[in-house]
Amino acid sequence: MDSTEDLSARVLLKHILTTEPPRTPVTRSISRGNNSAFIRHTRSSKKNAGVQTPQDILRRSLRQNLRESISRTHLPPASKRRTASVVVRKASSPMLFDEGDTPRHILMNILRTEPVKSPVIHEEVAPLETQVPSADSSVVTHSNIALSGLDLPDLTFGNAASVAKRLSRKRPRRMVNVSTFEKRLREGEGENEEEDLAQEDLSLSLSNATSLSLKTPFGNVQTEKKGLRRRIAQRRKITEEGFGDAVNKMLLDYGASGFMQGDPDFSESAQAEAFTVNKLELTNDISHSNTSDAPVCNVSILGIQDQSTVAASQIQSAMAMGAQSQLDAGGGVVHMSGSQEEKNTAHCEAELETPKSEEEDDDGEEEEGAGVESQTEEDAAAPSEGEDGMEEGEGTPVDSQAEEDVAASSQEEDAATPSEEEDGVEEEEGALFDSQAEDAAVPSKEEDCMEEGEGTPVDSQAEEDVAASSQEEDAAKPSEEEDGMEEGEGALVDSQAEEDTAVSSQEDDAAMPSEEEDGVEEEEQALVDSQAEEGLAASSQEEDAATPLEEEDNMEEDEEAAVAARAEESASVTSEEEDATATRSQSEEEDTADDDDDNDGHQHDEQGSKYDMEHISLQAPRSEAALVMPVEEADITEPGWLRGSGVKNRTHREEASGIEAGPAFHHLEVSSDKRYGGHPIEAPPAEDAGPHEQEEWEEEDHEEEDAEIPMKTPAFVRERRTFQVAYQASPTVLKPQASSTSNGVPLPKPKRVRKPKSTTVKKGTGLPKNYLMGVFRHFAKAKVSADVYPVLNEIMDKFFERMADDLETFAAHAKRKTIEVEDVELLLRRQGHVNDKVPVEVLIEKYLRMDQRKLLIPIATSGNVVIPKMRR
Amino acid sequence: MPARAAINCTNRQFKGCGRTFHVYNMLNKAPKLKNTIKSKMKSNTTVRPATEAMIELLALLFMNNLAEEAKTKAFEEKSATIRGRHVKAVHKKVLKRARG
Repeated sequence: MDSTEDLSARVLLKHILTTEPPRTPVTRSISRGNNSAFIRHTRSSKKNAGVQTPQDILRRSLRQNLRESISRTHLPPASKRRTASVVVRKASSPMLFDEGDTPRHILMNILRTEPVKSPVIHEEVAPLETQVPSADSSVVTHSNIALSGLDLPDLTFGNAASVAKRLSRKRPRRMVNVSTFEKRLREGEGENEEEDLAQEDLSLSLSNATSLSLKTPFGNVQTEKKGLRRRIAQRRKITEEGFGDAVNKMLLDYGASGFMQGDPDFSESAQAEAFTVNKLELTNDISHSNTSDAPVCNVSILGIQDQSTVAASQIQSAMAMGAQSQLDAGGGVVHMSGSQEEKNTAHCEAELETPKSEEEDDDGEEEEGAGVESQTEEDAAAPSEGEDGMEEGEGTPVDSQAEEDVAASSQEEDAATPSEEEDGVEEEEGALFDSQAEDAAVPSKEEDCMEEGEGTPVDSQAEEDVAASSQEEDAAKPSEEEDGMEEGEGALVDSQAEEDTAVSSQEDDAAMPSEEEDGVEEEEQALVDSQAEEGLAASSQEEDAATPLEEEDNMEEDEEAAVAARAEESASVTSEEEDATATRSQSEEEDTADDDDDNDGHQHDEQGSKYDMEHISLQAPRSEAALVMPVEEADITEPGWLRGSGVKNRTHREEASGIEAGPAFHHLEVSSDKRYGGHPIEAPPAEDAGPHEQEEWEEEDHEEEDAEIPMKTPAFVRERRTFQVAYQASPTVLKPQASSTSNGVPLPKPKRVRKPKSTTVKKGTGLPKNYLMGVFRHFAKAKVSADVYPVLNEIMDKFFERMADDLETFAAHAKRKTIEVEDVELLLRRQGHVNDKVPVEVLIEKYLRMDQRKLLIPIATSGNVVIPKMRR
Repeated sequence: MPARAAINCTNRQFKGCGRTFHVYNMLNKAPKLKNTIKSKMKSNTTVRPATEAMIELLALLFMNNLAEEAKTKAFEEKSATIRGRHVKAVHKKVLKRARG
C-alpha cells in the first residue's frame, strides 16, 4: 500500500520534502533521490506509521543536506557533479522522459531546486542555476514558477542570489547610476521601478551623493568665479582711486623734489606730467574750451572734486598750455610738481600750489590754473578753512589770470566776488594767492599752514590775490592773530602789512580798520597787508602806492581797503623808501626779465622749505604780474606804484607764507605780472612796501586799462588788506625787510634765509644721512628712493624725542639721574617688543653688534670672570 | 644665517642681524646717537654705553617697523620703490605703536 501510496502526490511530496536535492545537482539528486527513495520508503514508512508533519521531514532533509554538503565539499565537486550530473541526467531523462509537464517532472524540478534553503546559498544556487539550464530550463522555469509558493525561498533565494550578485561591489554603483538615470528616465519604466526602488533604497545615498556631487562642483565653480570677479572689480575700484591719490602724491613729490633741485625739476615735472596724462587731457580739454567762466568753473569744480589730482593735472595742463612762456611753463611745471608735492606734505601747501599753477599759466592756463589753484587751495584750504568748492572755483579764476582771468574770474567772481568777501571763497583765493606769494615764505610753514589755508594766497597776486587773499585771509587771520580778519584774507594781509610797516595809515580810511577788522575788507586788506609786510622795502612804494591807493579807494571800496592796507604797508614801509627805490629798479629790471619770475619762482621754491608757499608764490607772481602789469604801466612813471604793485603781489603770497621772502616774492610777483601783461613788472624789490599799494594800483590800473582788471583788483585789494592785517601778527616782517632791501636779485634771498637756519639746526639732532638711509634700506629690503630722507629725519626726530622723554620718566620714577639699561628694557616691554615669550636677549642678539652685545649680555670668560660684571 | 663665501663672514656674524647678507650697515656704530639723544633730553641725565646700546636697539626696532610698514604701503600702490610719501603715510601709525 505504501508503495502505492508513495506514488500518490502526497507521498511524492513527502519524498520531495524529505529528500533534499544534493548540492551538486546530479549527485545529490541522484544519491539523495536513491537514498532518499529508500530513506523515504523507510522514513515514509516510519513516518507513515507515525504521522509526521512535512515540516519535520523538511528539517530532516535539511540536516541531511547540510551533512552531505559538508561531506561533499571536501570531495572534488567536479567529478561528483559530472557523475551526478550524468546520473541525474540519466535519472532525470527517464524521469522526464515520461512526461515533461507531469507533476512528476515538477517534483523533480522541485527536488533539484530544493537545496536552496541551505545556508550555503551560493553553491546551491549556482548548481541550481547550472542544473536548471542543463536539465530543463523550461521545466525548471515552470517548476519554479509553478512551485513558487513552495519554493518561494528557493526562488526568492535564487532571485536574492541574483540580486545579491547584482548588488555586488560594482553593481550597486552601477545600480546607483542606473537608478539615478532611471529615476530621471523613469516615467516609462515600470520594470525597473522595483529594482530601482529596491536599489534606490540601497543606493539612495549613493545616488544622492552622486547627484549632489554632480551639482556641487558646478555651484562651487560658479561661486568661485563670481568671487573672483567680485574681487577684481573691487580691486579695480581701489586701484583707480588709489592710483589717483598716488599719482597726485607722486606729482607733488616730484614737484617738491623738483623745486629743491633745479634741473631735476623739469624731469620730475615731466614725470609727474606723465602720471597725470589723463588729467592733463582733461584739463587740456578744459583749458581749451575755457576762456569763459564756464570752463573755469568746470575746472574749479573738477578741482574741487579731485583736488589733488585735478590740481596736479591742471598744473600740468596749465604747464602744457602755457606755451606762452616756456620758462614760465617750465617754472610752472616745476611749480606745479613742486606744488603738488607740497600738497602731499602739507595741505596748506596745496593752497600754494594752486596759486603757483596760476602763475605759470597764461590766460588760458590761468583759468585752469585758477581752477587748479583753487583746487589746491582747497586741498590746503579745506582743512584750514573748510571751504566748499565754490571758493575754489572763485579763487582759481581769480588767481589764474591777471587780466583775462580777471575777466573770467570776474565773471566767476561775480559769484565769487562775494566769495572774496565770503569766508569760504576768499580763503581759497587768498590761500592761492598766499601760497603763491608765500613761495618764499614757505619756510614759515607755521604761517603757511595758517595762512595758506586762509589767506596765504592773498599775497600772491595783487589783484587776484586781493580777491583771493581776502578769502584766504579769512583763513590766514587766525594765523595772523587776527580773529576778526578771518573773513578776509586781507586780515592777514593787513596784519602783515601792519607788522611790516608802521602801518602808515596813509589811507587808513577803511583800509586800516577793514584790514584788521572787517572780513570783507580784510580780504583785500589782507592782500594788501600781506604784501606790505612782505615788501617792507616797498615802504616807499607804499607811499606812492598810497596815493594811488587813494585813487583806488575812490574806485572801489574794497579796493580802498586794500589800498588802505597798502597805504599802511607803504606807510610802514616808508622806511623802506630806499628799498623801494632799489626795488623799483629791481622791479623794473625784473619786469624786463621774464626770467626773473621764473627765477623768483624757482628761488622761492628753493627757499621755501615749505613747498607750497613757493609754488603758490610762483604762481601768484605770474598771475599777479598780469594784474600788476596794468598797474605798472600806469605807474611806470611812479616807481612807488610799481613797487606797491609788486609788493602787493608779494604780500599776498608772503602773507600766507610769512612774507619772509618778501622781496623775492615781490620780484616774482612783479615779474609774473610782467609776463602776463607784457608790461614792465614791478619786480618789487621793495616787497613789503607796496603790497597794499600794488593792490590798489593794480586795481586802478586795471580799471584804467582793462575793464576786466578792475574787477579783479577789488578782490585782490581785499585779499591784500586782509593779508596785511594778518601779517601784522607774523614775525616775518623783519625778514622781508631785510631781504627786500638787498633784493635786486631774487637769488640772494633764499640763500640768506637758508644759512641762518641751517647753522642753528645742525647742532644736536640729526643722525647722519647715510647711516639713516642705510639702516632704512637694510630693513626695507626694497628700493628706497632718496626723497624719504627728510621725512625719515623728521620721524626719527620725533621718535627720539618721545623716547628720551619716556626714559627720563622711567629714570625719574626710580629716583635716578642716569638712564639705565633696565629703563630701556622697560620701555621695550611697554612698546611690545619684549614679551614673556620674547626675552630681551633675543632682540639684542638679533639687532646689535657684537661689541654692543658684550656690554649687555654677560659672557663668561675664563677664570670665572663674567663680563660685564653683574650688578647687584 | 646665510652662508657666506668670504672668510670674513664669521667675524661679522655676531655683529649684524644675521638674517640677511647686508650686515655691513650694522658694523658701524650709530654715529652721534648719543648726541642726538642727549639733545632731546630735557633734564640732565647721563647715559651709559650699555644703555646707549639699548637705545640703539630701540631705534633699530623702530626703524624696522617703519620700513616694513612703508614697504607694505609702497607695494599697495604697486610701486617697487619706497618713496617719501609712503613713509609719511605710515609714520603716524608706527609712532603711535611705539609709544609705550
